[in-house]
Amino acid sequence: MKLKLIKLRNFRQFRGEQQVEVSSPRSSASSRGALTLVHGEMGHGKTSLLNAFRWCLGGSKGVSDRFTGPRDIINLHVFEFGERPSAEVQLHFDHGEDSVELRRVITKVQQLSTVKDDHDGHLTLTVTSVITGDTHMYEGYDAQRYVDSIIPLPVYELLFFDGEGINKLATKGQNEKMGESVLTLLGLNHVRSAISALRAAMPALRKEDKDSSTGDEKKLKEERDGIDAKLRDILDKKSKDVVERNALSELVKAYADDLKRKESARKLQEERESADAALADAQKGYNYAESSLRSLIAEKGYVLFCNKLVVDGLEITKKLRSERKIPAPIMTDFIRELIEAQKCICGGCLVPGSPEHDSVARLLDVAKDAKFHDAAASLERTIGSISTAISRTRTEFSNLIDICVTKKAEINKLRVRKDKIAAQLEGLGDPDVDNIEKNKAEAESKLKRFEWAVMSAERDAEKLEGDISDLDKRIKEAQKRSSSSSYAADRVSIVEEAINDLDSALKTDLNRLAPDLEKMVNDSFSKMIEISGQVRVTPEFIAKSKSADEVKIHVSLDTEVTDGVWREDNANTGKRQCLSLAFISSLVRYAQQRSEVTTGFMAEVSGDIYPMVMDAPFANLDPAAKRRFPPQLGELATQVVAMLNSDHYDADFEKGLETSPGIVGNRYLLVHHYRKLPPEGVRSIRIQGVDHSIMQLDEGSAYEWSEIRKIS
Amino acid sequence: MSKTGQTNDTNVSREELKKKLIQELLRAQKVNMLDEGKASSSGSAMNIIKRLIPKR
Repeated sequence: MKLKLIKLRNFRQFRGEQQVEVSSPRSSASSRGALTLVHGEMGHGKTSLLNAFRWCLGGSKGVSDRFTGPRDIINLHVFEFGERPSAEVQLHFDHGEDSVELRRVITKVQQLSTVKDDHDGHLTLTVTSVITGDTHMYEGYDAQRYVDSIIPLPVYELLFFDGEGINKLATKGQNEKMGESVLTLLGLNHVRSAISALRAAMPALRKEDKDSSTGDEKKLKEERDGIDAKLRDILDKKSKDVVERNALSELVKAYADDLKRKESARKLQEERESADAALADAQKGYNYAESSLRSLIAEKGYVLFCNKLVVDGLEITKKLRSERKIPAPIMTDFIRELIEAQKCICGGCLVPGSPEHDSVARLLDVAKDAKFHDAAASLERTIGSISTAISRTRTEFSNLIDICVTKKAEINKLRVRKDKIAAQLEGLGDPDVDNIEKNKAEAESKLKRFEWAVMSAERDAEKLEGDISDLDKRIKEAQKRSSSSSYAADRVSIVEEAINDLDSALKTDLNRLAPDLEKMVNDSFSKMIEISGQVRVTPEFIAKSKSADEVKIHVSLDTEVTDGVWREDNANTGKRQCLSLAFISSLVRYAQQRSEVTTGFMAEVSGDIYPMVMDAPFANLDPAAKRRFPPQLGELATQVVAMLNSDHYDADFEKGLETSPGIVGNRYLLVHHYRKLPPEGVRSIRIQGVDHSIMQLDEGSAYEWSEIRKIS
Repeated sequence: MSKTGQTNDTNVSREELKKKLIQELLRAQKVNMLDEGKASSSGSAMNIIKRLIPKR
């Protein structure tokens, strides 16, 4: 498909007739001129222009999700500028040897109709052979069928895209839809449908064959039918089990990836657990010390306040002793002897009635008081024991205080560590590794059951297939014996062989597609961004089932998280946009390569050449990527129509584009006509050093509208 | 013609029939003509089979 022209009449905000001539396709040698640029600001019609392509191809089903008010196709002011109340989009393109003109028109009556099909308007298609000059016209359903055969909806959904949402391409829930787009783009859906159609015809063919048979041959065929029915049942169940098994396998893998990604979270969690245990220990130690301290204070607290008593007691005894008020018992007899002898130890006289005699006699009286002596001695002992108790209790108290202080410090330190770990874990997402492991274990257990069921079905199916094969041999022998095979038997065997050939070709193709496409995407992506990205194309073969969807492919676009761990949702929007573009462009190239080299019957359905039409796909690129990306724009497909606003097309982007001179063919500007110019907003765009006004004041006008203006 | 020769001829013819069947089916698919919803449609798989391998 080679785009030539899109012509709009009263389509959305575009007034009257407007058109974009698409730059000619690039040759294989260079991308010169392959790019058509349409510059326009928000609200000036970029998304409308993208959807004009899509609406023309598919009607209301074809428009993108971001196309607001999809039922309001006709310009709201069509009566005011005296036009008839209808809108029209024409798309002119070449397809193979044919020149095709597609024209979709919708009237106000159709637009307001309650009949859904009316919202598609009326489609006419004129096909002119470039070689013979013959022209054919198609209308309505036939025209749509013809268009769908050239560029089906899953293909233009992928290639005529809205850049704002392109980062969501092939994300969760979209993988199979993307797989369908890939199959359709490469024409492999036709092979799959052909297999399905032949399989659907088989029961009738077998019945016809059986009915036309006689004798042993008929019996053998009946037996074969019985086994075949059993086999179909087993395979039907198996196909369901395979779907479950694959989903579980994906789930287990996702859990494993999650666990791997959260390995650091896991380590932190272990650290947190160890900190928790240490904290509990410290708290326990603190609690014990605190409780002991309380008991100590309750039981022996008084001794802490007895220190003064001890000191005073010691002072008193010291004073008593110094005043000799506590004489030693040994002195009593000695002093008595001295009194009786009336002699002092100093040699003086102790005459009765003398002051010395009386003083010594008083002392002797005191010394005679044994009770006082005992009390003094007891006081000394008590003071001594109190002092010992105080010292012991003080040590005990001091030790407990030390333990409390140390444990409190330890607790505080551990709490700080725990808070730090908690903050780190929060940054790493859900730290509930245990829960993931539990879910993983459950999924693995289920997976084992389904794997066993699938294996068991495969074993049973193998046996039944062996039985069928034996019966087929016996049927053939019986047919030989009955001289010639019937047309009905021929139909069965030829169709069977055709199914096998198609099936095997499809599988071979899909197995080859996965690594080839993966390599192309990775190469293309690495040119744009310095991180690793990849596409994963996983074919799923659910062979020989009654289901029409026997072959599926699962597409996912991942970026690398850590060594060997890939995730769909890892990269930021800009990087995912690049990855999606790398995927789409690789797919387009792959389809083109296939159309050039495929041989055999696959050539009938092999890929085609497709253009790309994109609305604002570069909004989220960083400056470095913005410079690297533009030169590759022209290589994304043989023709690329890109719609950009001034955020996308800035100095960095233009610099990038200048590194690939001549890449841009036609350039257009979306000029918006205002009744009153808005106070703010971009009024002009600078392109190659020239300022181009994108706002025009239409004084006195009753409405606003957009114009497509060619600037080069 | 020998019995062996007959078998060979038949094989060649069967191979061609199979190729034609696949080719026609895929072409019909590609131009959206294989309408399985309409058994009588000339593009239906059964009708292609019957046309290529007629009753004899």
